[in-house]
Amino acid sequence: MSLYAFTGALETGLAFALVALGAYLTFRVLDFPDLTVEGSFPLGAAVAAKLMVSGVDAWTATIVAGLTGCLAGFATAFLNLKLRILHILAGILTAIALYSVNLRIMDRPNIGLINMTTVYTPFEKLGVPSLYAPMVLLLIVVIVAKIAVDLFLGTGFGLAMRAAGANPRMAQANGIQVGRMIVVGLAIANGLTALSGALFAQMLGAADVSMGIGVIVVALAAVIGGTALMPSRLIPLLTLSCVLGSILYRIALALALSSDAIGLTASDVNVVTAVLVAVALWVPVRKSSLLRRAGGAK
Amino acid sequence: MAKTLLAFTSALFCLALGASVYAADVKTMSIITMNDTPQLLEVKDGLLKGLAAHGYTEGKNLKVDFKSAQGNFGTAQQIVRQFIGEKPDVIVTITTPTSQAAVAATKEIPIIFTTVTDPLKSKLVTRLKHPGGNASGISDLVPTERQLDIVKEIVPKLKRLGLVYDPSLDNARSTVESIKALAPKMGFTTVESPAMGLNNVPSAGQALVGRVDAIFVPNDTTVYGAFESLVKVAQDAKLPIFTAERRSVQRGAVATVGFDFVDMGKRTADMVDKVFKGTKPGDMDVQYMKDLPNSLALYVNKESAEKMGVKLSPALLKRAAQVF
Repeated sequence: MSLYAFTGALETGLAFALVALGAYLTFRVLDFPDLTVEGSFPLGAAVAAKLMVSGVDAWTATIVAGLTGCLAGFATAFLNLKLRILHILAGILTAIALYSVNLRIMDRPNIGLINMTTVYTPFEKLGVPSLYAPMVLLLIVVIVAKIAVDLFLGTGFGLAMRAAGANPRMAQANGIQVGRMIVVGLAIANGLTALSGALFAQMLGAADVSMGIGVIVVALAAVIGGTALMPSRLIPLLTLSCVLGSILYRIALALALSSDAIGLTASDVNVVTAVLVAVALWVPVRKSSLLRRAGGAK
Repeated sequence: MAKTLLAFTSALFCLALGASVYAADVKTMSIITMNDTPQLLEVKDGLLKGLAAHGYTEGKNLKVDFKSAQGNFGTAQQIVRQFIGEKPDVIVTITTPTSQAAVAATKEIPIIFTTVTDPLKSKLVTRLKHPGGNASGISDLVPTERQLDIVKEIVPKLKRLGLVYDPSLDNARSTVESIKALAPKMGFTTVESPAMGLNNVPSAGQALVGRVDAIFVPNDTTVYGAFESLVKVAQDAKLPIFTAERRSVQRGAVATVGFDFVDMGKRTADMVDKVFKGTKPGDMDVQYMKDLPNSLALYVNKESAEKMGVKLSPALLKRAAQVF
């Protein structure tokens, strides 16, 4: 793996780490499998791209894009809470609706962003080589987002959200409005996802309506893989493991992509990735079962 | 962590060793495609055939690295990064998004893009003549007007033309826009029937039965993916289907005027050969496949035409480059 392949894995991993943080909030904290992300990721890309080509400055475009992601989260929460639609189905419904919405926003399936002033441009002007500029900004954004999620989950509201996910009945009995927790949780998660989409599109050089394909798998691999490799009960460590999980997934993919040497071809990338992720999931299990056997006499 | 580091360093060594085996006169080409659809793989095959005709043999004086993002944008970004790290003599990008990813990522390595419909709107180049920079290539914009002429020739009483396409595809959508613009001048109206995803293709066709005189399918990988199901609907309803490329005529469409994707790959190879010989992509004009000499031909399917209730005149059959 070359330096370029490695930095490529790092920056892509960092961009998708925001989706992983969102998925941590929904899947782990709220116990709400949210598939809206397949639509809110390209939504963020679409809104940012459309605003940027309309002359809005890249930072404003990126922030507005993140906020529209919150709306997508509200939509799923509405379908689930008010219309009583099963959580998975509610997310799928919002995601497929967003497909059409994204086409409407962009007015066509693809908007090119090459040679435009993006959020990464100021870093290049500061003298950061263009290869590393996205990484510097993404690292800052991811660290800020991670700490914000940590602090949020430590507040009274955040504790209530964790209780609502861990035991909704008990939480309800203690006066926590579980519905409100789901609304806020989904809004934050999809806001992060749309922000990720906006940042990724500016790095890629285009927003495309098909960008959402596979986002959910990547997010799950990051959350499950990350927390499996680094099991913990502390929130700051769990969110850290989600970020690391996202980066490790990309490194695994980069290794899979350079596996031609051992007789694998381009079309095998998906299965190689699946095997690598499965191994990452299995190693900690094996380790703990060995430890248990070794300490069995105790 | 130490183990991971060890794995990285050993992987690096393997790559370095692999690279040093090739001598200086070996040209390196990295190809990236967004999907593995038959048309795109034909372009890649044509590219390799074309390069062979120029005297480059894979494994001898040409090293080829072909990768598909399998529809995933994150993967596409990473493949592009990996290619840049390997510093090939040329990167060939198949489809619009992969071309954008490559052009956005490197200003140094020469890029030849292919099967891009609108290189200007996609921001790959800022002008078509001597585009400057490190990228040039070939557009697959279809000769829509010529294709509609054939529809009118075979279905003279055409009043309403049905359009089956996937609105999420840039190529398909821009073709539909240009058909709608041409329709009043050519004396017919259009009825759109969108098909989002392979499963919706047959129902998109059924929705047009009784409402149109003929169906036209633009260059659309979704519809072509389930084309047989659309042909069946059309044969049952005696509705002639016309398409924008050769392969689908073989699979049951009545006729098209178009280019061959293997041929398009070969024309891409001509540009790659120039890059290998030292020409900068910025000095090469962006080409439109439909305007290149001898790129267009008439293809018809006699048997399917009869099943769809239209007769092909002997004169037309004589003009055809291929009768399926």
